[in-house]
Amino acid sequence: MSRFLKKLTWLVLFPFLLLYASLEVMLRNIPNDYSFKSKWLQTNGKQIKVLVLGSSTGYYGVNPRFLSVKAFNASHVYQNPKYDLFILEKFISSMDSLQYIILPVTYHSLFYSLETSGENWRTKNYSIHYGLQGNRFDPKLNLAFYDHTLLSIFKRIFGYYINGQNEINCSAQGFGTSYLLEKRSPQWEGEGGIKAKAHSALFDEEDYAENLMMLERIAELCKERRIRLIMVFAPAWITYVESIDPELLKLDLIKCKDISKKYGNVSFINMLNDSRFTYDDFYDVNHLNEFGSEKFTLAIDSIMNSYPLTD
Amino acid sequence: MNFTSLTFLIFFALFFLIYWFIANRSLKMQNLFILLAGYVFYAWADYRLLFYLICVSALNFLLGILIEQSQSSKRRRMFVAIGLLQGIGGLFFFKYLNFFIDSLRDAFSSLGIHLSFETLNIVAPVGISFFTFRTISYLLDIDKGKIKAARDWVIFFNYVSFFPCILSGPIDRAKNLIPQLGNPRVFNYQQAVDGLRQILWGLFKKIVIADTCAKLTTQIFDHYQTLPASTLVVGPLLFTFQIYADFSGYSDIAIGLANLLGFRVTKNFAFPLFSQNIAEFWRRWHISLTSWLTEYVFTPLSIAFRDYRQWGLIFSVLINFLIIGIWHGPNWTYILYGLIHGCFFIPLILRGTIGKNLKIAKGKLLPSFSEFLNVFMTMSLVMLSFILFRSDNISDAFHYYGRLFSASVFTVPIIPNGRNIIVSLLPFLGIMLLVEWLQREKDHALQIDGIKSSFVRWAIYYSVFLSVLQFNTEAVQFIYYQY
Repeated sequence: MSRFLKKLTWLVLFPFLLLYASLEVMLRNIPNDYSFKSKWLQTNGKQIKVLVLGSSTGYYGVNPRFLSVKAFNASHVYQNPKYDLFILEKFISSMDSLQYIILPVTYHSLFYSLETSGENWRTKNYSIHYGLQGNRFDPKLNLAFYDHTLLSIFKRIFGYYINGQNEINCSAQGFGTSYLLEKRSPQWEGEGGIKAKAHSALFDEEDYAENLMMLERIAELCKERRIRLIMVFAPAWITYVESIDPELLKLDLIKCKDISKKYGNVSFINMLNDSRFTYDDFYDVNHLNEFGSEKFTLAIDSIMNSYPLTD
Repeated sequence: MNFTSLTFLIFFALFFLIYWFIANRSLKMQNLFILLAGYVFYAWADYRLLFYLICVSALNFLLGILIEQSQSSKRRRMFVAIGLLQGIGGLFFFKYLNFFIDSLRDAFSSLGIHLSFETLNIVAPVGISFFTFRTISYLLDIDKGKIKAARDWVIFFNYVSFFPCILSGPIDRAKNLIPQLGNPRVFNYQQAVDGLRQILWGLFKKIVIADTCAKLTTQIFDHYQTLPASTLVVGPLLFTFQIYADFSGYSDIAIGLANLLGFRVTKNFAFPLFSQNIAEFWRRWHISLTSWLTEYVFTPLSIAFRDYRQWGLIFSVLINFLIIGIWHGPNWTYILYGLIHGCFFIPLILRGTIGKNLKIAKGKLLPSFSEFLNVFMTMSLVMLSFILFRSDNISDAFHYYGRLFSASVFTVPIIPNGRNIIVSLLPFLGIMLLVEWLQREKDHALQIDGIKSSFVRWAIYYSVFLSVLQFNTEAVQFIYYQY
């Protein structure tokens, strides 16, 4: 037995534990959007007056550069209200100047839970970089290397430690910079039906109820702090809008309006079919490009200005 | 708790250390510890029906003793009947009742009579098909006097729920496992090392081959209506590799885990992809199920119908394969799959070659042309039958067959989002087939103790392990978990 355990330990366990421990440390130290935004909010959160939350629609849609007051975009791809609330709760006590929270809502942003979605690998970023206290025994939530192939891990490590490429894909104010008009797929318009159906298929009653509850908690928290919460239903291209489930869309709109009615500090604006957003403003059927995001942010800025800042 | 998950790795590592270092003070303690771990493992999969598993174990334990103690054959038959009723009845209730209700309703509906039966909301216990067959064979063997009834409940409960095999087999017979549970266990270095090798190969097959093939077969079978026939040919081919790698991978891991605990468990696969006819395929595929059915269904039936000669044999084979189909689950696709395989036997029975023992390329590196042709024909039939196995329903399967035979079979196959996956899969698929071909005379493909150089052996282990790590992303459930 001792011979077996010795061989197993020294020839298998030890080298692979060492390998994975090294990979874990190296991966955690590669700067990415999550580590960048978390650090930024820790050190500069005090100064901002506007905080942008939400999923990819916020990440690629709201560029703080075009807002008239100091703002930061803390949204991440696939971030749903649970994680919006977590970020808000974590930093709100240090954000003394915060006056507005911009929360872009999309057709499907309340349909899913990040943990059970196909993008669940993102959850670990919240525990590793933001310090979310989740299940400490779930490797999916705590290990940076988990769910990644060995080759992809080596590629990332090589990319950062040898070639100096970090994984931050956003601007200094947290805005996603990679959705450019020139990079748009030639078939983008045709994907509307497929994408809308895929998004409709994400609908889960329990997740929907939980997300609504989180949204209400965000609204309550904002009310306590006298912060105006602006929920904006983000624009989408016609091929997408025509294929979404009208009943689910109606449900979204009713629920968002209900929240805005219930809490006096919440505004809800529906820009889904807004005619100001034209063909060249979109990157794909449900995301704006650099031109569209400028328009969207300016529109939000004018909405913000209709609710003057309080001192 | 999937065998390929990190959770299971930690669970088993802790279990292994306690089992050999703390629980080894007495046999009873060691057996109790396996039982406890088995129930934790089972409850992890589905805690709601752990109670059912315990009740089934208790009932069959008592029935075994009662059958053995019964003086009159009438009483013995009664106790056997109770056991069979519980086993088959439990299977019927949990797995087939809703299917039966649906089928009855459809049948009456086609006659214009609308029944208002509702299906029930039933959760089938995980591994029910496997542990039920274990308890049935136990009672039948006691009745025939082949084995003695277990008197130690811990041993018997362990036999029913031995955790490496509880979820998807192999379906071990009592005469193999119960005596091992009754003997003190001594750690055997060679056995443990061989167990680890088999686990490693099982992980390779599951994670590298099966899970990667699954990504492609899902694409093909989910979108078969829009894909050219050339792609539809690739679908069953990949599914054959997937299901083989998935199920034999599971079996390899289960057998390897049992080896680490000092148990020898029944072999479940013997390189079936190199079979030269369908009878040989079934002697090499899911061996523990086919040998179970041979002993308890096929042999009694063929004896009962021996007066009808070849027709009696054909009838026995068809019934045997009908049961194999039904065993897989409540779907007409499985039933038809079983019957088609039964029909594949008919030419062999008529030619009198059903029991012919074929050894491919014995003592040679390559097969002869006729051997190769036999393998090609056999595997083509198997692949075609897997369309039924993989399809959601009969209608989908027939549509798939219909689309398979069209002019687009001569076009270049297109798999949506599949190019990169195919490119990464092919070399490893080649490696699996090559290694299995070279090792076809051995118990498992990574039985490489014949290689004298430890450097070469370790280089092989590391290469296999690194490929597993490369492909290991999210743990995907085994296909036979649902049975």
